[in-house]
Amino acid sequence: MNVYVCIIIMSAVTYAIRMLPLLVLRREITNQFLVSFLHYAPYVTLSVMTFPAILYCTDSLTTSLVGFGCAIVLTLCKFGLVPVIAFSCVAAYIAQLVF
Amino acid sequence: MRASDSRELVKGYKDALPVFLGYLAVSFTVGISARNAGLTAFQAALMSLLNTTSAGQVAAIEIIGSGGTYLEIVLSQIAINLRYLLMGAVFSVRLSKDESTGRRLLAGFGLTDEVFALSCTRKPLNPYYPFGGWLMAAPGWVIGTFLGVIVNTLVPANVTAALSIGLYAMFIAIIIPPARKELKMAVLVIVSMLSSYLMFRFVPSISSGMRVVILTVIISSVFSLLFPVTEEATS
Repeated sequence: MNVYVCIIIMSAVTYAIRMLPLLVLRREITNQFLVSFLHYAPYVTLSVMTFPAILYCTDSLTTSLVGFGCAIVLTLCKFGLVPVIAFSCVAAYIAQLVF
Repeated sequence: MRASDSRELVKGYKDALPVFLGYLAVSFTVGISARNAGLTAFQAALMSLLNTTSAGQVAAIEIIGSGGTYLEIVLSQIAINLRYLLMGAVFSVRLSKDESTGRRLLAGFGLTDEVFALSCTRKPLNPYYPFGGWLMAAPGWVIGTFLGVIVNTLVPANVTAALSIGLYAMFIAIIIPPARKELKMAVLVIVSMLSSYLMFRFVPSISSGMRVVILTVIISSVFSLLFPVTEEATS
């Protein structure tokens, strides 16, 4: 297998998947089921990607739980995107040093 | 390019700064696995530039390292990256239906998990927002991969781990606010996370990419039937 051919093939497949819906779905969607589906879909996708993956992205479950908990609490307290990200990273870092 | 385009381009670019930092850390580990599979730093960085997809690249690197086939590469990319099809559909309905083909394709560059997440906060969506996000995020992904191959221990492991939490913290910061406002969205988030955990725990043979696709289709469908939304309510 040639590595460059692999890279080209995977890129072609990945970008075909990315571009296809943007090119095909051009009309306004009026079907209520589809409108609802696409309203809910991003939140399901992001939730599924977050959990349980967040628990395993550091070496220790405790560290991950601290970062996870910190992100949830700060978001509930209406902190913005950047502070939530920054404080969660710092909290996880400190947790690693402590535990 | 309209005035609103350059405004959205700059906004997307700036908003994606945390993604740039997170990508530096995460792609560093992608670079390490690329090195272990025998790829050069240039090959790994090229792969990152042309794909910008962590799970897809790790799968491809494993296939290359174990001397797999081109067919395996194709199938793995379809399975793992099929979620972009759903994300692309979300983008597509949020773009104005008058957008030209070229502008629609521009939005497609923003279809990485993290830039997609940021773009979910924009309604209606200007294609330059996700494109601006990609312009900021992609260099982080490419540089991190490159460094992962050539450097052994540039970044302490605990810094990398802390930064990778940041990308998930970003997802949380995007999904919790609607869940705070509406009970059904809170239920949606909790049901999605629980289902994801159960599938991960009891059906580990399903890859993370396919898990996203399967659960997104099932859970979004159930909620659409139980709680249909009108078009006005979504904007």
